Amino acid sequence: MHERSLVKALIEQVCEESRNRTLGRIHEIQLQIGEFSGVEPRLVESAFEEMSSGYWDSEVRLHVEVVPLTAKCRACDETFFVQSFCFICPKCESVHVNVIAGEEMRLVSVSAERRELIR
Amino acid sequence: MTTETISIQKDLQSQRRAEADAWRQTLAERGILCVNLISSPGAGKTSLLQAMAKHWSGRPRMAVLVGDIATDRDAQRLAAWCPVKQLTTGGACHLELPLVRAGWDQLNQHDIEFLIIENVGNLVCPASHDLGEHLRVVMLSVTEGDDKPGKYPKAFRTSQACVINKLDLLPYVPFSVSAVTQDAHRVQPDLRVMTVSALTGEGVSAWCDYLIEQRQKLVCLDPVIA
Repeated sequence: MHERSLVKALIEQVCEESRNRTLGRIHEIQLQIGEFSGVEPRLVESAFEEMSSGYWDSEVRLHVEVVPLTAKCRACDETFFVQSFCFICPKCESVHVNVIAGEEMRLVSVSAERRELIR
Repeated sequence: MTTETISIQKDLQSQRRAEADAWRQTLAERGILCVNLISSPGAGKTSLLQAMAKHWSGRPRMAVLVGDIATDRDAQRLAAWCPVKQLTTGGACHLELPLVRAGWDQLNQHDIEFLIIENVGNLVCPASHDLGEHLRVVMLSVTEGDDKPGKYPKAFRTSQACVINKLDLLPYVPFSVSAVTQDAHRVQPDLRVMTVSALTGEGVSAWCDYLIEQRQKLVCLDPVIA
């Protein structure tokens, strides 16, 4: 339900970066979505497809990389993928773990044409 | 023209997070504990708030912002007990911070010690929206079944406390408090699980005491002075 507002934030962020860095035509946007971010990649993709035409004349591809939910044990330092949302260390069975990845929605990079500066 | 990949590395939720943190800080400085109450529809959020308001009967002072897709029925139920403002989302399945802040501006804020945000009945989307609360509470009623924590992990993982309601119906339904607690602790080992019956008042006093304790921790007051 809130994917549309996140896609709007994404597009606006790309537009701002594009202005600040004086980029030309944008070909692709690389995005990371955490498995536990509460954001559904397929909904982001379809919202992007629908909304991007309102901002750019030519097609801009969206590449989504899903980041697995990853935690680190505070007791034994083991880093592990959280399976079936069980936040218990598989090595020492400690329940004291910190999530270190998998909750993000990050604009990683854009592939764009660089305008030649007039010197 | 050459095409190249430009690294940006920007967290798209950082601005929202910063806004929620600032709001959380503002409320803390005013000595207000903000609670975000989430559950599925019909778990008894409004009934619990009525029971709390009745138990406290004006002291400590609580105010409620209640979210729904439509109608002000919940606000009407609470209006006799405490300052309340209905937030209608017009279709959105969760509350977001700007709507909460607009509602807060319309509340009688005098002397408020607890701000309770009753989220839209939904165990999914509200879990992904920080409303600047100090305490997130997920509520579950015994008629919903004891398999919910594993099915809605984010709601449980991001909460600090879990209230199991409708304890009065426990003899009539296949629901195990220990099974649900175990399931919830797999997702969130630090979750404080409490049982209540908003209808009979059982457990409401302990629940209210827990909130008072949480507020004391927040404002770092000596319990005797507070």
